[in-house]
Amino acid sequence: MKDTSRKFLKNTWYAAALSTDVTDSLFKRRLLDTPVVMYRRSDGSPVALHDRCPHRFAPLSMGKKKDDCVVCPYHGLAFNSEGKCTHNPHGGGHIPTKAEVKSFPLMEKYGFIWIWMGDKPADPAMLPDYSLLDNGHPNALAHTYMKRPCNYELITDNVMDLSHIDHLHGEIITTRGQLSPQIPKVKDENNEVAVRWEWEQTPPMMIFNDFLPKPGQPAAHFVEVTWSHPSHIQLTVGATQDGVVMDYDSTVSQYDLHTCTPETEYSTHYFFATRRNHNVEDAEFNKIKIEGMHGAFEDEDGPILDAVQDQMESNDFLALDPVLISSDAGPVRVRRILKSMIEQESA
Amino acid sequence: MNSELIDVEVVNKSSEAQGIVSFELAPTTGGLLPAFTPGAHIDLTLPNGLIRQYSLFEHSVSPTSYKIAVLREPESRGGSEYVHENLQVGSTLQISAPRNHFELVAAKKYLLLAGGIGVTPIMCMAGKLARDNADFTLHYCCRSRERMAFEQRLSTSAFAANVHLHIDEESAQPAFDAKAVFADVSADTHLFVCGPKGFMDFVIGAAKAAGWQDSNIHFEYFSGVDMNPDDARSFQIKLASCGRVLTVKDDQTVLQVLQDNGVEVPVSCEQGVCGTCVTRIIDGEPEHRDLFLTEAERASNSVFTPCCSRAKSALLVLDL
Repeated sequence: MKDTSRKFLKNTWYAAALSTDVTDSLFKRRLLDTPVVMYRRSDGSPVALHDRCPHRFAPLSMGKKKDDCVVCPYHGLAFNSEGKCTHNPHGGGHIPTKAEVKSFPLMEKYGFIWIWMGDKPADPAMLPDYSLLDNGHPNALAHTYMKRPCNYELITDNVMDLSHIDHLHGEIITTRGQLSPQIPKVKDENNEVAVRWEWEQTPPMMIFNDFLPKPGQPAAHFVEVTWSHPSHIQLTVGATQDGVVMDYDSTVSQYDLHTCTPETEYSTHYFFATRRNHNVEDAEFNKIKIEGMHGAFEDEDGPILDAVQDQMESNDFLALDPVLISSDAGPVRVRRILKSMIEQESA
Repeated sequence: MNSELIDVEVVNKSSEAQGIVSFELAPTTGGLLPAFTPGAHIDLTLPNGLIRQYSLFEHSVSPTSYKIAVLREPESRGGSEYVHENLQVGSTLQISAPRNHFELVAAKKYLLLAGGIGVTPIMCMAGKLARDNADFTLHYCCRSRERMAFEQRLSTSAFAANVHLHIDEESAQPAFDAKAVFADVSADTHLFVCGPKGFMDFVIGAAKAAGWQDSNIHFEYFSGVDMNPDDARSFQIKLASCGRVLTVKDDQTVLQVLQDNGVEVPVSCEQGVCGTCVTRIIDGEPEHRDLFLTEAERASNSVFTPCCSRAKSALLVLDL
């Protein structure tokens, strides 16, 4: 396998696919510069194999699924869901011990299939608890996916520094200029980094305005982002016109999970899930909302990140000597922690 | 950050306890003052040139005045003594807009703990929490009833049932039973503590010993996010390589002093974000005002950012 150990953190969970992406047919995706083929066994459990036959390196994803095995399209070698070759139609049918593809540990949770690509044993406890996504009405939960031609850390930076909202995004999530003047609080603990902003605005954020007791009147707002390695960010944003308690349960709010998986060093699979606590049964609203959020990223964040990537000669952002401003505190903390984890892992 | 000063007039001055006087400050032009959240403080620019921070003790969503209470410090460096002696009803002075390093956070339950004059931000929090019908308990510790500001006000308030007074002189045992107060450890309860350093050290230590998580313990501190040098003090730095000692005045940064003296340190953001200027400390205790260092690096005190951070000790020996 290509040595990508210096570029990416390996012994951790990445989102490989939305649960709905993987069916009983073959689904291919490049993850951490490694080709992977995924499918479901007859019992429904997902499988991920290195998408490269060990014989002449044909992609197994071009082959066929037979029972719970994959048959290589080139010379017909078959591999089971553990990656072991189970059938060789050539000569006497001898199966060399080394005829094997790597099978990656998977975990299916919160509407995603998570993959462990490192060599250390997979540790299920290492994936943070995102069960807030699981709790509530099905019409108040949505998932989406998009691919961007930029490095995954640029997307992490974008979500960890929300001060760009008033400059880049439109009317629907404007904070009326309240975010940029703040120097937000940044906390790091156990390799997690949290940034929180609180402010008051009139009218309230448009995504919440109609669901507050007094639309158009002043409301207290908060947004908090929490990063966990390698590239998972929980984002909670809410508004209230009564009460001092500012969390998901006590405000009109939503809870999002942003998680990025490098396809290559220069392209990223961007996965997103959102759960809200208001107007929860409205399926039509749910559809419009996820389309709106997908659109905001596709039309507003995406183009600027792609363009930023084009201007950068390398992905070593800090080595390019950026002129940083107060809003960069969160992204810089994240980059430092991730970098030191990658260095420790490849030491 | 709003750096514009506001002209105010003392409209009320009253004695709150032995050595404690409260002031009500209203804008000279009338009208509303900037809104604030409980835990906020203002800077007073005194006519004698000193700048001092005082917490606001009464919360209002649309304030027409700010209320502060000032303890006359026996070892006053001139601030509290001046305030007590010279500020009278009708005196005018300048203040900053409120800033808050001691915000309430979302919690199911609140435990508020005040020691002595530390009651000011705590009282502000209690008032707001009571209005919001939040679940809270206030413990207020003091040496004697004569020195206890706002005792009457708290005992007769609408939330008097939530208030517990602990007065050393009136109790044979230690008046404040930390073990009992901290026994109920819960992720849903947040502790807010303010008071003299000894009191804070004791209380925070006791809470941690009882199993409270750091993330649930909140106390007022002035480092970390405030890069305004308005509460800065002068100190000295020593360059380890040549032994030169330089003075950093209260309105200078370490970086300015280094540059003025021909010592080159790489620098970029000038506000403690990028880490370009991180410098090793050989001796002395820094006062971290940056956003770059991790909590672990901060605690180690072995590095600091000379662009914005300062010193708690009188001298910092730098690896330069």
